[in-house]
Amino acid sequence: MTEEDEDPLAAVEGPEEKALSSRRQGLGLVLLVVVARPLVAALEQWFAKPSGTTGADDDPALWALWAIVVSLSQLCLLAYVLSRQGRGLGHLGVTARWLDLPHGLGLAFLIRLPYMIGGLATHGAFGISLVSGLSMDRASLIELVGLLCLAARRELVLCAYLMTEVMVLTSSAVLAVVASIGLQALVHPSSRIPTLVSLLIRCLYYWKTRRATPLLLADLVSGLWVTLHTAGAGG
Amino acid sequence: MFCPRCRNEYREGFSWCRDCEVALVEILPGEPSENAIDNRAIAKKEVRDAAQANAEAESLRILELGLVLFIAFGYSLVASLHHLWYGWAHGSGVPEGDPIWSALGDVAASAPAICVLLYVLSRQGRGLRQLGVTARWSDLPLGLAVLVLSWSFLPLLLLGLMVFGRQHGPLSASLRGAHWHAPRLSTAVLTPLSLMGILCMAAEEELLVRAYMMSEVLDLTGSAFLAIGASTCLQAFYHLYQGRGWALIHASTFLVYSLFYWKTRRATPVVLAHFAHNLWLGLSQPGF
Repeated sequence: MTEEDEDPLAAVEGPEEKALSSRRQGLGLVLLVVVARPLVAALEQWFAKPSGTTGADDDPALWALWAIVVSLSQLCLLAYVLSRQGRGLGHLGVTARWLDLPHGLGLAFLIRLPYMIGGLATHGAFGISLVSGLSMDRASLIELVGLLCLAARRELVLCAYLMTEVMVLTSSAVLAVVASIGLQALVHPSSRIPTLVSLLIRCLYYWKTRRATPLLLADLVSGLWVTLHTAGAGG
Repeated sequence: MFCPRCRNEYREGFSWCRDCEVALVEILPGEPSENAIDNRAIAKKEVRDAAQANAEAESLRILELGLVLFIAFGYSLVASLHHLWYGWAHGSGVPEGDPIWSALGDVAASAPAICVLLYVLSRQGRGLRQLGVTARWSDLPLGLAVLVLSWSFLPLLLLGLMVFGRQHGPLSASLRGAHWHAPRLSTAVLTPLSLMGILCMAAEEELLVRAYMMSEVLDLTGSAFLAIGASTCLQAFYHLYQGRGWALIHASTFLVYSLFYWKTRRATPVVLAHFAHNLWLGLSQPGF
């Protein structure tokens, strides 16, 4: 008896079903690897007193190394999963066009805007974002590389890949946007309304344009902006 | 038609070479027919294609091995390098966490890595059984035997170090700091969740670094020495964040596990031995 004789479902499963099943499997694996640990940490933060800082948080260089290694390993997994399906990062909208730069800068301003408005509404001022000077004193090269890797992981895995797969699997753009925002908010329990609005802007941009590079650039510029201002404010 | 001796060509209708007094033949000896040439070319191309496909398959397997190890142990390796560089042990001075959340963290850290291994093996048409994961009654006594053997190997290592006058090394420093009197056992780890966490961590290390890595290195290089050495060294290396002394102690244990796996190709006993080893550490040194 062959395998198909034993499993009647396998016999009727066509190539399209197999492709969808492979995509579901890949999505599940990538999300498990990316989300499992942050989710447990988030649950701990919600339901119990956190066990204190980890060794990586104490040391900025070690934090940056952690960010680089963890992000790169997860991006490698994403690339491997895509390659098994005959796809690549290009299929997620990773491009290298001149237009990506102005798009990224514009998007960076847009995703900082909710924080500025939030600061204005809460404190009557824009917060550190506009009043403090920039400083490169505490931002080492390795920290900047760490920021880039984290931005790539966040935008490629939790936005571009997740939204693409959910849209293909469910044909629902709303569900894709909700899944991406929900998952990112879930692993960052301290997320507030400005963060959620910022995530919504990113997801809507990706949904409309299917371009991931401007998203990545915007996330990086936004992260740099905060880091350099925090350093300038002595934070 | 050709004469097989003088190799002259004759027109149709001739069957005898009058110069050489021999019968003519259709094909000169030593000159293959067109069909034979075609077949040989096809065979050569097939061999070349097969060699290329084999090389590509090997490259892919090496990449997959790197990917699995990078995802599972990348950060531990970096933390160990950091420790080597700065002499600062990762996690030192960090307050002890809630054992329940700590166990959940262990499960969340190791289960995804095992899933990545399964995904990679499925591409190769393999599974955990091919790595030696079995469920036999003999696994339990074998696991205990491996554990006892690894523990009895340590005094021999110590003796060797003392004989060679290296009692002031990092290993000796770690052992001087250890409590050699009968330890007071803590039962905090004897909860189902903590046991699950310990089992997942043991399974992750043994399935990935022992069974999978050793199988791949053995298949790709054919060298048992390299497989045992790579597995033991990698495992000891990413334990450097606990301190050099502990990494050396662990290395002796891992060497015994590697030798056992090489001889038997059975993964379950080493997972059980590692689980029992970690359980003992958890019982005798809470927060290890």
